[in-house]
Amino acid sequence: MDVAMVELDRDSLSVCSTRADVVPKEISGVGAEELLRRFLEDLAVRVTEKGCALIGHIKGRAVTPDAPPLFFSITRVGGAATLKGGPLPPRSNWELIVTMILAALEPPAMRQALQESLEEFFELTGDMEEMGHAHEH
Amino acid sequence: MKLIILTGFLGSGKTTLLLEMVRGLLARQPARYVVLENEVGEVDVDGSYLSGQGLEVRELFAGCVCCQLAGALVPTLEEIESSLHPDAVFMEASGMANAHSIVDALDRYCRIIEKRLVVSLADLDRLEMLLEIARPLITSQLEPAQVVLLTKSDLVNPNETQKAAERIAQINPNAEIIGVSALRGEGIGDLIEWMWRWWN
Repeated sequence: MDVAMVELDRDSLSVCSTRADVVPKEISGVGAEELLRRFLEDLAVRVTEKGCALIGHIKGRAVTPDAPPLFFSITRVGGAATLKGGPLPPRSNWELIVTMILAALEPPAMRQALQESLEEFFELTGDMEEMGHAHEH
Repeated sequence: MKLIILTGFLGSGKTTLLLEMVRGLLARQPARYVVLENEVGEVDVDGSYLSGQGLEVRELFAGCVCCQLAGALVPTLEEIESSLHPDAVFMEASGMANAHSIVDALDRYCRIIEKRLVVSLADLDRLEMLLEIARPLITSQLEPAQVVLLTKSDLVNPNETQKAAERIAQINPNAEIIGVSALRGEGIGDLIEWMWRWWN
């Protein structure tokens, strides 16, 4: 369960968008899509462990030079990630854009969780680039 | 110009259903549709997906259309109308948007809309929980709707869908309520049929 029983409003939700250049790690028997699913499910768990009270949405896209982009999304721990588009070549350079909209977790903690999940499944070939900020109503 | 506003909490399936609506209506009659995509993140994810599916997309991002970007909404719709002359605009509001605020702003300041439809999405997988912890936001998205789509019906049993429909009817007794699963294609035909009747 990814929900702490607290009352939430729009001000409780923070937004963090991040860009990273990555190469998928080689994991035996795991294709690009499955790797992305595992990454998203891992990220959902990590943000929850860091105090996220509700996953509003974690979504983004993976782009390579030679394939159609792959769009991804997850909304809860234990829920299946949704993938649309692709397929992506497994051992190539990907540009990953990840937007997280979460309750009760500030962007620095979101980025920390993202970095940990990325390092679990990908080799980072450059710095993570912050593209968003907390949402304020 | 007709305006279809899609509202609903984050991750409820707005982008997926928007694509189904546009495709379903285009299959009945050729028309020019433009999508106005609103995202709170600095990066446009959904608009880029819809563009890749061949839709004509304009974007309002890095803020929510019900508050930070409210001032930009009417000029953007006017610009779309004058430059593209669409038959209809499908506007996907951010999942954090208060639909009352959007409707109020449009009713007060926008003179180019001849017909407006508010479609609200409620994710069956999370509706109960969201009504528990974020009721004011969720009800603000459901109350102004003429149609409420109970999405992800493949994830719950029919009894749960029925219970959810009853809860929605308490919040918005006037709305048409349709259960849909984009994954299985269930309910999409009913939705298109309902929209077609509204359209004409």
